Amino acid sequence: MPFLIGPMHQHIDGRKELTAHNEILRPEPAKELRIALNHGNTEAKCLVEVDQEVKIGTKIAERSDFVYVPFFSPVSGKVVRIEKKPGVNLRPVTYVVIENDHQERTEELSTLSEDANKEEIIAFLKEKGIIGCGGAGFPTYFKYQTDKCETLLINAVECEPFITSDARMIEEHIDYLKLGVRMLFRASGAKVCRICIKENKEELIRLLEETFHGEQGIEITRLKDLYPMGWERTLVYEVLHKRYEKLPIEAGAIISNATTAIYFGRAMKTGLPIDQKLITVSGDAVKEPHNVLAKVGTSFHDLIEACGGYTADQVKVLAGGPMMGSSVNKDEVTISPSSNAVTVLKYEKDDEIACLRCGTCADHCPSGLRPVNIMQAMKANDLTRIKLLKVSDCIECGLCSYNCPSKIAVTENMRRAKRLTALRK
Amino acid sequence: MEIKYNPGPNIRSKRSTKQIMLYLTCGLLVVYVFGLQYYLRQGSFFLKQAILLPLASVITAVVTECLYALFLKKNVVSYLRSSFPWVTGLILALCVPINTSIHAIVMACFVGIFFGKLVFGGFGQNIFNPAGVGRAIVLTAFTGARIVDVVTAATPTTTFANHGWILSPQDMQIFLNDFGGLKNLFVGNYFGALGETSTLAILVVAVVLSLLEVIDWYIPVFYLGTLFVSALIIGAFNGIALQYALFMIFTGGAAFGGVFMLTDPVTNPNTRAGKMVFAILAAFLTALIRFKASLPEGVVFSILLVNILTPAIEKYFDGKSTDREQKDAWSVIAVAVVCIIGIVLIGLSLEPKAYASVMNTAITLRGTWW
Repeated sequence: MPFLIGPMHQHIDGRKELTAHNEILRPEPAKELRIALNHGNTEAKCLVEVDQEVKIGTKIAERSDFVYVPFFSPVSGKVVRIEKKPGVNLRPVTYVVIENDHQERTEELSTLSEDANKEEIIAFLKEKGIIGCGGAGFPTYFKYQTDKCETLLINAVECEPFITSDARMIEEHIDYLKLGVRMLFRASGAKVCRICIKENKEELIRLLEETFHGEQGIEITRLKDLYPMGWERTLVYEVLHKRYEKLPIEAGAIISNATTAIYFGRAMKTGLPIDQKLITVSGDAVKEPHNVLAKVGTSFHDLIEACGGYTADQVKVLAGGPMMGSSVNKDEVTISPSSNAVTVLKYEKDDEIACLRCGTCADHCPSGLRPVNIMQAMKANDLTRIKLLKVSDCIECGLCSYNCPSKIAVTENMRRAKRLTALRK
Repeated sequence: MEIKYNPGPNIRSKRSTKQIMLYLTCGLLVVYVFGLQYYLRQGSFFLKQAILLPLASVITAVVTECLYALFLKKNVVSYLRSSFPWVTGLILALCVPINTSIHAIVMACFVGIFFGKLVFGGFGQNIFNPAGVGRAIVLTAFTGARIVDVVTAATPTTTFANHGWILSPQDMQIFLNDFGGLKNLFVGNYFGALGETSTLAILVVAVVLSLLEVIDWYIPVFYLGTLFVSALIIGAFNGIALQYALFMIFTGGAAFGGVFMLTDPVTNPNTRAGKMVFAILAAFLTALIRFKASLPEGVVFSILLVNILTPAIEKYFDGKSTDREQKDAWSVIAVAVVCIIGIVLIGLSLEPKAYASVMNTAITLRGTWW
């Protein structure tokens, strides 16, 4: 009830016009590609050695604890180095550096027939390393190992400002999307599949309606232009009016990103894993914002150069969009299969003043948290209260800082509180 | 070219505290201008008061904070830009009686700013509404520092209070006629505080400020709503239902306090349900003081009293909002019901006295210092 809790979302000027309609850049892949072997905070096991020959689709590493995530070479060539350097989350990660021979030689790659059943689809998703392309990179196969799904939500909301890569991917690869969605729908066992998209993307809605016209059980759901509409919890609440504890399946829903479905469709036809990504390079400190199609392992530096370089003396470089993207301090970091944007903004210091305790942060928190109270508890070093306030439910969407009229770094305080509770468990 | 690290999010809303305070100041000025147009027609003495009171109050507030900034060795300009002393000064000038002497408002403003705000650590740290503290000082410590005038002394609230806050239907009619009827009490063309008399102007400003997200609309709605509903019931028992209920919220700074003072985010609870309970409790205290205390007016003291309750209310409503949505809803409803019943029970114990029209005995002594 927004009356008692607050709206739990906020309209943000998306600045999507910067990259929504211009040309997609396809620069020549770099001489050296550096693949980071981390999946979230977990390091994957390296399966190649220096000097080893690799082709497009050669498995170079895998994560195999409770989830299985393979890593593939995006180009053909030779492993020249294995090095430890800071990743996008600033922690050191292992990079496999592949020297590109520009031969485009490809491994023998398996494809999938359109009659595949649920088990075959899940096995294929797992083998091809199809992961959530919305940013979090959670392995797709994992979500479909259930028979409790009633609704499949295809997430084409793309609520993060500046980013247009999902929308552009749908435009470019509507056939792969159609195939991917149809197959994911089958794998989910759901009765209804709803493709969720913001109501202001009219052209895209028209394209989706034409494409999915007559498909049994698949419908297009229009959503308001609000942030964080693309977050699973907000999406499930807005579309299905349900809340859940941990996973959307508790509300009978599986959510997959539209780009994920596209890569799945592509893998079915070509056998290729996610070897390249469409990256929105945008922001107010990059010369010519564009969507850039780049091989996994391409450095942020190369992407920004492809867009004309920096335009300010002091910039912030973000892996992702301006709300949830993480700030990096070197542009030598590279893109991964879950990357979708690099945002470059002018650096300006925020003019912070005292907290009014107005509660705007609490009104807008999509998790229903009260950052203002958590901040008080942090100041008082009251760990019991921090836990009572359930800071661990924070997804760091950034809305509390965004809305804070006193320009306080509220989200950063939430991160600190989360770390504190994690440390003293 | 240098890459700076900055933890996200990396864009911010344009809405800022400075902007909120600017809008609030504009809203207060609109209410002030409305008061000014009335006193413009009441002779040079009142015009002088209407201009000097806010000027003296705002100057005192700004000078006090300047000295404090100098004492702390801070940059005065940037300190003032993030402390907003003029808002306190303006609110205070708008809620004191028009015949308050200049030295009284200067003292009240100094005490309000210094003891009500700065000793707690300045903007954002204070427990009490600073303007409310100043207003209470004027009401209690400086009762003598008024410029005597029988007409201005007889505000609707003091007159009504002198008759024990209830009148028979016939007397109610005579009383309302003395002050130009309910319509005039709503529009606000009568003597009183500079900014408190015109409920119309205050409500118009309140709607605009709510739309601009400067104030939380539900605070004045719950505050005035509680007063209105309970007065409606008390009035119904005495045969003056609607007149009594409207009089209750049109007069005595109820609208002004509800819109400009209870909504101060620094001194009210930081959750929505908490703010609602806060507003309802303030209404209860306002009624209690009006009906049973010796002071004519309850608004300002009720505000200071609920300010004390803010931490307790926050503690009660602490937690994750989605987890306690239902509990919060029931809490608000329970507090509302209990407070309304409480006000009604107290109100029903009031005995109507015979009404003596003030207008027949009015002797004007304008411009005489006490």
